[in-house]
Amino acid sequence: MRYSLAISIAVHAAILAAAVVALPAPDKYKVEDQESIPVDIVSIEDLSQRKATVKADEKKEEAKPAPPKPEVEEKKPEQKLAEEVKKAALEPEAAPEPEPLPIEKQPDPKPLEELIKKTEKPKPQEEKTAEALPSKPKPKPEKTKKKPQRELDVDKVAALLNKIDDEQASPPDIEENTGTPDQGEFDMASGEDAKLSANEIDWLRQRLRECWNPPVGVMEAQGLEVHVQIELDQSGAVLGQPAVVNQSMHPLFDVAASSAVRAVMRCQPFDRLPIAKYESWRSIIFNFDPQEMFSG
Amino acid sequence: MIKLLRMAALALAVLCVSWPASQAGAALQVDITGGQVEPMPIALPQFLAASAEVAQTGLDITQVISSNLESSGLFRPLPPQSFIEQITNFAREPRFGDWRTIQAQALVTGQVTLQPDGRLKAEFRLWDVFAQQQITGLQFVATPKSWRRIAHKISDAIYIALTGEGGYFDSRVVFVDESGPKDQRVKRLAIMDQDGENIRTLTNGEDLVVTPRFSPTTQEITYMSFAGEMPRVYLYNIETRQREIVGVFPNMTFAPRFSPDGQRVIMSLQSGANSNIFVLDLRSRTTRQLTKTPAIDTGPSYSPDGGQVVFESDRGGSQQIYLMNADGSGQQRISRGQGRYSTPVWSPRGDYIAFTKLVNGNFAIGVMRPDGSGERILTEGFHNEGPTWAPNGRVLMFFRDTPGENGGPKLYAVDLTGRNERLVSTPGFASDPAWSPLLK
Repeated sequence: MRYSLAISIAVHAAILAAAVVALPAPDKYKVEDQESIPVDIVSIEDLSQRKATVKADEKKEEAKPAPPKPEVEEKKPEQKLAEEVKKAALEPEAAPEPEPLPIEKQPDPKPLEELIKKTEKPKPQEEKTAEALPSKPKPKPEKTKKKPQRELDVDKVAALLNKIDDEQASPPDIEENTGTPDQGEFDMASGEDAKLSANEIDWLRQRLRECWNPPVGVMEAQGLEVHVQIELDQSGAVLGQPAVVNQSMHPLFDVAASSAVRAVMRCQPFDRLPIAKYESWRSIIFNFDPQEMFSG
Repeated sequence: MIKLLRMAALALAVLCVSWPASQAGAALQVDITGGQVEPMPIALPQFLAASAEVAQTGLDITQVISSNLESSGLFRPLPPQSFIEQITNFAREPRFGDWRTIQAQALVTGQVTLQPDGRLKAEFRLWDVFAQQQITGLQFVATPKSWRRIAHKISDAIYIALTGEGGYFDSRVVFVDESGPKDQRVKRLAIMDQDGENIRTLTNGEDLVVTPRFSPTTQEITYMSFAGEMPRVYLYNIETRQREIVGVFPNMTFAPRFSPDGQRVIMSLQSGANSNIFVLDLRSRTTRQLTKTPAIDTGPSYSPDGGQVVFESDRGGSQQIYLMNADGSGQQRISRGQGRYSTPVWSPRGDYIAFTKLVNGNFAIGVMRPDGSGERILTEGFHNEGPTWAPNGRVLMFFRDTPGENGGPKLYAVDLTGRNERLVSTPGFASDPAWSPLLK
């Protein structure tokens, strides 16, 4: 009896140990497959950064020509001032009228709060309709495509790179991205625990970078981070509202947090994540930290 | 042996149970370390008018808000032609989807009403289009003549809510209006709204006026006037138009500037080839000497808490920026770069000191932190000078001279990023701007 228990435990332990040690082993070979990917990622980042700087330069140049405009108007008002000056000289008492603080700032909380309540009431309906739309593509998880693809298809990677490249060139258009989720190409791992590849995470990162427009002060404030957690449905649409999951006493935290939430909502749906790996991206925490934008 | 086996089995079992659980519970973490630096698209449909007589006012207010926000460089008002939803009811929540479609990130709706008592009421709501909620909503009541100030106050409220910074649109700028040929300029003191509107002159141009400076607490300015060769320091109340002489000093005086509490004026007085820094108490009219060097110390400016003074000095051989305590102790150099530094001005927020810098024959306007670190140049060229801070400490105004027979100084504004520079339109040539605190 005792021996059989011990043997049973020992055998179980051996099987479990074998499962832990031997079964995950094939994954190691996959990692090797993926190792070639980071090389590509570097080029993507380079590419996107180059794009970003080109964009910024273009914008700068576009913005520059603006100031000279008013100079055209310069000459007319000169007479105006001359007249004004004459007036002032003639009747020096008449010129600057004292402004007895005419504006009464009335935050008037009561009626306004009522108004706010009124306007906030219909909100849930709006939200529901917003949620209802993206959830349509839900029944589309195409399981046939889920076949593990061991070998890295260079052409396909190149095609995907080009795709990402195209996306960077065009401004993020939320409406256009509501098509069928694109999947399979990078679906190298099988099983539900499969993690997103570095390329897929880089795609997410790049997309958020395009949607995030941090307020100017936030870029200067070092160490001001906002962590936003979202739950996604299988079409990549955000379920409910994003949650800000960290806190800070920084005076700019609130505007930083709303800019981060806005970025996530602008970017959704995240429709290029492989459905096969849904479990790994169902819940995402984006850590917004504009450290690269710090200007000195 | 058996115990050991049991423990091993238990450990393995625990491992097997907890391993997948921890996998499923962890959210994917993605770090976002950069974003787009671009003006925020904002929709400003025309403010509704409760009655026909205020329809024009509604339009005017909307336009002033739009141009204020655009001038900051941080917002891009969208063209009204692109709007899908036409706002017709101020009390109703907008259709956010319509505004998302045109890429608006924020939306401002508003309404003006002429009250039975003859006063104008302006209300507005600022909406976050993507979060689908109201960010802020306020109302202002004033005489219809003051519609411009209402528009500035609403602009400030929007700017504050979306940037987290202080406002600056409801403020004014005093400057020296210059007219006439280059060798015989007439210089008058003039004042205008921050956006260049409502210009009026304060002095008649008989005396030469320079370096006007606003009091941080009242609608008062101090400036230097040269009647003949005699320099005088004046105090001028903008509301009452009263002018008084603070002092006639036997020697040349330079760059008077208020202390943060408005009770003292700090300036430099010349004696021989040197000049030193003095504080003048406006109540007791007593002066106190702060620096005593055989050099030129000038251009003093207080920190916002009044505890320290930044100034320029050539005691080390070339013009550099120095810092000292308000009682004159602890003098130390803070500027470290190449070139000559002058006209230091402490930001009302306290985080930066603006300066003019001459390097390689170019004049640049820049900022550094009070310890001298983080120096950066915001603009440079043939001649830039005299930076003055907006009340929120995020924008600087300065004047830029152009060479040649017909050249002359003009006012410019630039923000702390150096990206958004613009000409401030004035009727003629203009120099020496001084930004007021926010109006009350």
